[in-house]
Amino acid sequence: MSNHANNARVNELIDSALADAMSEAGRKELEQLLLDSDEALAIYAQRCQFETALHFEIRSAAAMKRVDAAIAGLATPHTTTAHETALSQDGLPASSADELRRREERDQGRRFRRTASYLIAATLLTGFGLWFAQHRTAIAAERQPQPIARLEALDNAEWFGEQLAVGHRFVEGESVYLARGSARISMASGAEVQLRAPCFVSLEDAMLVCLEEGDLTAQVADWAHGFTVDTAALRVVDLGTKFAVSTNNLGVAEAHVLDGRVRVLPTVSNPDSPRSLLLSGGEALRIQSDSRVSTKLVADRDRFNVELSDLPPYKPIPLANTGKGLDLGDEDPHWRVVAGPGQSPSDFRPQYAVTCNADDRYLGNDPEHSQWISLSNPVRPGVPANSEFTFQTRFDLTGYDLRSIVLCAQVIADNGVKAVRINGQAVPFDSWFLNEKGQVFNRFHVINIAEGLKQGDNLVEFDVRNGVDHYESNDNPLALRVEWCAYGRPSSNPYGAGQPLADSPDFASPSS
Amino acid sequence: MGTDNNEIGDAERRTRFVELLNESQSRLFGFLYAHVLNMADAEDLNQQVAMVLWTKFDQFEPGTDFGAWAMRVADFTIKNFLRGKRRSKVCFSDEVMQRIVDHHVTTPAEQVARRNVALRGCLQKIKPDDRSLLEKCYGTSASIKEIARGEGRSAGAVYTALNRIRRALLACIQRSTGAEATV
Repeated sequence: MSNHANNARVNELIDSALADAMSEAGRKELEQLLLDSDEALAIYAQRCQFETALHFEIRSAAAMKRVDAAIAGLATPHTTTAHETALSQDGLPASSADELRRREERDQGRRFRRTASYLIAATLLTGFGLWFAQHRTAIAAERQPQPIARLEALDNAEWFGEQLAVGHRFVEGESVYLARGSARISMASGAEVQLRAPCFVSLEDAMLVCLEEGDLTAQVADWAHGFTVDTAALRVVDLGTKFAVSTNNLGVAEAHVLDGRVRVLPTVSNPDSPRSLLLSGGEALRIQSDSRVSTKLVADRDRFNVELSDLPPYKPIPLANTGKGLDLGDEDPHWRVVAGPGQSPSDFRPQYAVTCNADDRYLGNDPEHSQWISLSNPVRPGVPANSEFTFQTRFDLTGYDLRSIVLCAQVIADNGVKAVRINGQAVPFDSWFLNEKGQVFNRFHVINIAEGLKQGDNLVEFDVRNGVDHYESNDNPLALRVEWCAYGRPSSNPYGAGQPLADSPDFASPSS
Repeated sequence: MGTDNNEIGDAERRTRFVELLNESQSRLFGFLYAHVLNMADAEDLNQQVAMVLWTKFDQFEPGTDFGAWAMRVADFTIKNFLRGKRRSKVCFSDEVMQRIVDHHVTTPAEQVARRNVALRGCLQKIKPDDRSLLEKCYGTSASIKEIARGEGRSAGAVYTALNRIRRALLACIQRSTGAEATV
């Protein structure tokens, strides 16, 4: 084994030991490496030193935070009591002019300290008041990470840790370490990505991949322009292209454009160089971050050009989050309330849902992503207790291959969701009803819709339940908030290549 | 009077010992961890070694490398400790253990200190989410499985994320210290 391979293997074995995954064979192999190679021994020693240093750093930082908090807790204003003042004044000999001056200085100092103490106390109280006011209204969202990619194919692949199989759905923020072979990932945005081991990547979201180490080739669909690959040394933004990025742990990164164009932005810029650079097909750039040296190269097609156009890339499905981009009181043109309480269904008059204010106990509205909708704005006084309303929205699946659809709703409802239907068919999920005293509505529930979809127009309905108000009688707020994550492959391949989906061995329907 | 002088002498000796131990703590702890690859074991071992070092402090030559002396003296304690423990992830042969001792003893203390300073700087640069994961994994006694459950992820995913962060930090240390090492 070469030195480089030895070093990589030592790191792998240490990684597996730290993950409680070291076998007896692995232990023996590590022992042999430490016996045979001084370099392996040096790596091992450094990794151990690093682990303990990290342990101490994190623990001491946590301890410092606790000390800070304790000091903040003790930060009470200093005031001199009347008794203390009397004693000190009585004790001062006021016979000489010097002593009087000193006393005056002391008194001034004391007044200054007292005033400063009052000011600090006032500031602390004001700050606490502001913090309390903000804290009371700022309810944090609780959400599960959204699915953003699918593991499409593997070639002699071995992962560090959990062995991922074809069909694995990656969620936002997921990191993977490909120890051997290669793997292909289909991003929900429409980028097809090939990883070559050893490779560390984080899939931050459908449009951003952080490459810590290794080689990555990406082919990006027309609708996914702006897809970005980040490394420690540079950021590569797609402008309609097929490109590759390579980086190692010494701060050297390369961007190779195989087709189209990319914009390259070094993370550490040289004041004498432009802050970004356009690269076209056939061009490449190498950046050494520590020396801030960049070198133009010819794109290495032999190394990076892999077939990624054999499958149609994923394409986002246009589905409307509740209240997105609307003002309070606006009717949401994508959402209707079609059923409500009454003696008979005809008693309820369907209407467009209305973007409403976030009640005190609701997660705050976020017009850029989603907002609460209800029957009116403001959401109070609300609707009758123990009632039920049906909200519906439509979406179009024309041109999508239904077997490839990933459709996931993240839902919050005051007070809960009783049923969900897709084209009239019940969607299986765990219904919920939250009606405790002081109940907070901030947790998104995930509802996957895997069956019942059809070509063309689709209708999805949510039966939202209202509960009782523990403080007032009868009417109380009811509201719904939905954020979608939806994508699928077009029926026909925009690249005009490859085999039909039905014949693709790695292709599986979302429900499989 | 004689007793008072002895007490003062002991107090000074203790203070000097604690100072020297503190100065070498990071290096010594990394050395002990290299024998067990388990933080809890390394902590237990550290306590035992500190006691032994104190009992043998008379043999330490002032002005020489305390850390190197401590690592040599710790050798027997480590072997004794490993005989009674089975939870450590590794248990190396005497030959490998001797190589680990030799390597650590000859590694300059300044090199370890420089890398620790670099680590501190690198920790400032990582993403808040990554920092938060490190705080959960290194700063609490929660197991990876418990942390994974809290985050709605699999334990494997957390291990992988941790590994990625470690690699990024190691690479950052490497860059900061002028690529002196081979990791």
